[in-house]
Amino acid sequence: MDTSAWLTELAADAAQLPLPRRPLPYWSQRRAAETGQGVDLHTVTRRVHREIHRLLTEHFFSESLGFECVDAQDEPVAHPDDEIEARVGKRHLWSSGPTGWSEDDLCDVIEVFHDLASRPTRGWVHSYSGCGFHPSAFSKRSGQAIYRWRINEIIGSAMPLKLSTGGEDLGRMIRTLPSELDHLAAAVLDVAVPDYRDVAHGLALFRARSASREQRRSAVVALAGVLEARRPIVKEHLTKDEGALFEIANKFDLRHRKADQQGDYAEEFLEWIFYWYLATIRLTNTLVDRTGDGGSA
Amino acid sequence: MGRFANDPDFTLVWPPDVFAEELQRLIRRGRKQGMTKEWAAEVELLLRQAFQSTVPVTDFTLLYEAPDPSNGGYSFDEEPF
Repeated sequence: MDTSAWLTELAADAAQLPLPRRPLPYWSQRRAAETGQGVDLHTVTRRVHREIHRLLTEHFFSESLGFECVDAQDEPVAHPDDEIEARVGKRHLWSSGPTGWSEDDLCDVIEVFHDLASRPTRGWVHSYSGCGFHPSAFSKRSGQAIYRWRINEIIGSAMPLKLSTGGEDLGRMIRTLPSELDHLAAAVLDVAVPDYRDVAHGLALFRARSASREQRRSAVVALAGVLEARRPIVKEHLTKDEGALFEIANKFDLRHRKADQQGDYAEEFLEWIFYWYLATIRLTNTLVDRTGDGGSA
Repeated sequence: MGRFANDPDFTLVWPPDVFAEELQRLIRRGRKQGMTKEWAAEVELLLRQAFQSTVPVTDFTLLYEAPDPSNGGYSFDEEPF
């Protein structure tokens, strides 16, 4: 078999290649699971710190931070502390970690390093004095994708947060949605439509880590705006009584802020409306795609 | 089922879609610009990064450096004169 054929077959098999398997839970982990205790913040923090440190040694941040070389000892190399302080104003966060990091600190570290990540694609080995590999070209896209995947694997279900993998909040910590809704959000973001930015903005607002009730309400308003523009599509393909879709937004305190609108609804209600609108947007995406319509009124 | 499917020596430590995309990019470049030593070094780097084991990069290197029978060289199974 020639080289090209071998590589082509390997790429074709990518989806079937095994992924690292976690060992079966150990005694104390099984006991903790039985009593409802999950992995705590400190454990997640230590694992994230260790993974970022490993990526540092693999030059995944060398494009941003530089790297040391025995022949260039006068050239300064940026320290992660410098970047973190410049970006979020926290001093010595990396060098003092991970013990003592709050959830906010952990999220800041994760997000900053996401922005710094890029995979070395080319390089050479500097053998003098065992200096080591020197990267000479990088890929930010694949580096950040790999970083997000690794960090989200570590976080798992230990926190109700994860690194966003698409949309306006790419590379930012967002609230975890129930998995089926996560798939819905990903499916909506996967389609290029003229009002993509409005949809992505609504989604980013809603699942932001520290989203307030007001922000989530604004997210619903944003999606209602998208659907309003798609009203002709809804009317033509879904139901002649498309007004029913907007009745809830109009009746409750979601659009016009009139005195007769109800405003004391529960958070769960707000979530329900958001996902209903998101699902309808997904449906109309399909219709827009099928008809070749631009999707706007 | 592909030949590499479920082979523990080919355990990926990358997201599969990113791996497939990056490898296909290199394959296309190799076909277009030739499978030079520099190109092979990039493939080796990718395989070292993407897999848990060193088997994939070793297999690739052996294949890449194997004499080409079509040029009159000998293949693995033949004894040289």
